[in-house]
Amino acid sequence: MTVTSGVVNIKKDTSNLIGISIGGGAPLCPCLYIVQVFDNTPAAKDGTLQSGDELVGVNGQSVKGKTKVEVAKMIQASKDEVSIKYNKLHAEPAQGKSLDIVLKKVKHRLVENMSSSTADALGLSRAILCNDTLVKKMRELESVEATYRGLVDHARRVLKAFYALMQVYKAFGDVFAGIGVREPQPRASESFRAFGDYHRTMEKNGIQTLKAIKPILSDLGTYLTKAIPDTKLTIRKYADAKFEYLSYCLKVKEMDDEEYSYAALQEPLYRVETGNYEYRLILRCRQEARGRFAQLRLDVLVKLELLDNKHVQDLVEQLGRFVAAFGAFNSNARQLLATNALFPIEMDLARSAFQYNTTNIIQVCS
Amino acid sequence: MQHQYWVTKETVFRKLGKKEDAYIVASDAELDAKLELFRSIQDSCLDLQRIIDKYQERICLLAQEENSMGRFLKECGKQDKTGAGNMMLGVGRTMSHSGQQRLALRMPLLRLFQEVETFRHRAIEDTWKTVQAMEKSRTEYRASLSWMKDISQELDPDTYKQLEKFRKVQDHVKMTKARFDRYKLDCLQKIDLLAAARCNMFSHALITYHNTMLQFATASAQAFTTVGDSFKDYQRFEFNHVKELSEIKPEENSTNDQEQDDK
Repeated sequence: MTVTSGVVNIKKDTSNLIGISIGGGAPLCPCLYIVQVFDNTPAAKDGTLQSGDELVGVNGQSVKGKTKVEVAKMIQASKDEVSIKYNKLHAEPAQGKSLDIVLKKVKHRLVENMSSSTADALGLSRAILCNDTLVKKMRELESVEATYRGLVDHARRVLKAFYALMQVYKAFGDVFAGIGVREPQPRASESFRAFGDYHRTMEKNGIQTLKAIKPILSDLGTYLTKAIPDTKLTIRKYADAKFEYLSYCLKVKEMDDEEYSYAALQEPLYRVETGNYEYRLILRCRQEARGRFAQLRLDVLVKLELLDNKHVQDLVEQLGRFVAAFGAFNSNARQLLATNALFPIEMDLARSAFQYNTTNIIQVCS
Repeated sequence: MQHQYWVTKETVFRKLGKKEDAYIVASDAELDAKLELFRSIQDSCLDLQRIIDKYQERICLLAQEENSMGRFLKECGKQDKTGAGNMMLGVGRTMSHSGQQRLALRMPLLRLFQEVETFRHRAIEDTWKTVQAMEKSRTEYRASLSWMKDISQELDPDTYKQLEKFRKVQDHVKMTKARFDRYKLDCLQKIDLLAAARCNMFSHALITYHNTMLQFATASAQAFTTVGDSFKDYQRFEFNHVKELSEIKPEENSTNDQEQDDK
């Protein structure tokens, strides 16, 4: 393990803190180290100090042999600014990611997928952080997906039924056009022809409507087949990062427990006596995992928001188009119907009805 | 006996579609035209009845699909708290409504169906019988004509017996002609009456159909347009996480409460 040291000056915030927690120190451990760097604190903003780094001096004073409480007091005592001398921990994160961590991850994943009661029954309840609202969003997303699928399905069936009706319109119109052609009464013939015609026009309008609506289905399908799976993948990645982070947390906790139990028994722990490097490595790994986790969380939030936005806007737009198409069809039909008030047909049978030339002649003859 | 022979011969010829005397066919031109009309009425009524049946079936189907889509949208809309939910609710309501209204179209269609059925079973059936009788008398008449032609060809005016027979056949021709003419007139009148009756039937049955259609189209056009318009300007979305986008959008708080911070 290589070590580089340095000195960093950190300005305190208003509540007299620089935002680190420290561990180790006398009497058990020969060195002091940073356990955690808290978010949005001067230390985090500065970015030099990381979890696992060794604390060597505060304001030029060595901290060797001091307890962590004393060192904390030293930091608190200095005004406005504190200079911290540190030894950087050059850790390979891969070293921290042991089999233990992998197994813990698997465990978290398992617990995630079972109900809390099942997890309790199996004694796996240590993963408290598991029920995440974001991962819950996954379920929401699934319901949205189901909505879309249902919507596409229903819309397709409506369109099919609509198309069937249009075909009947056409057939109906054709029959009446045929009747009109053969009808001896001129006015009735004209009426039937017009009646048939507007049915055929309605059919044509209907086909136009269908053509206008058809793309909506594929647009909705895009959301279904592209946007949702993509977001799901991101959420899954996020969940993975979270499990990793949780695993490190758990590992830290276990190591803490180990330390305490040895301390309680007044027995020396080799790891602690030699500077607690393993522990610090895990701390560093935890911090890095946390960073990744936070980054992915942000990604997921952004993605979900974009998806929601798309969902809202898209659905509104597509439904709007759908409705507009039907509205246009209906108002066209209304126009057609209003201008074609054909019935009742006025018939003039009074003319030379029932007078037939051939029979007349014969009647005259006989 | 001989008369029967000629009738059979004529029937066979007509069945086989043998070419008949052009003058005789021409003399029946008006009748044949009317028969054509009758046949078209017969066929078109049958077609119409079938189509009306299909029509009402498909109206039912579409209404059902519309209704189920409407229900589905309403269901989803209730769960979705965003503006899309509102839209779905609105569209769902309209769809369901349109589906229900559409069913109203079935009433006049069913009436039309019944009218056409009655028309087919009563009027067309009756006319069909007359036409059949007319065809029979026409065959007989034509048969007697052929018979007379046959006899006149070998007529020797001097032979009294042959002349006697010719006269007898001539009488027969006159008789069958009179009967044919009666039937013919009957037929022509009936077919004309049938056409007029059909006009009348359509005229009455289609008024309700037309009015219901108009009503439905007006109502749904209105409903769809209203729903469409009410969401036309709805394109807003409140961004919480993507700050760059949220700045562009104007403030609109009422639309969205789903996007709370998850932390």
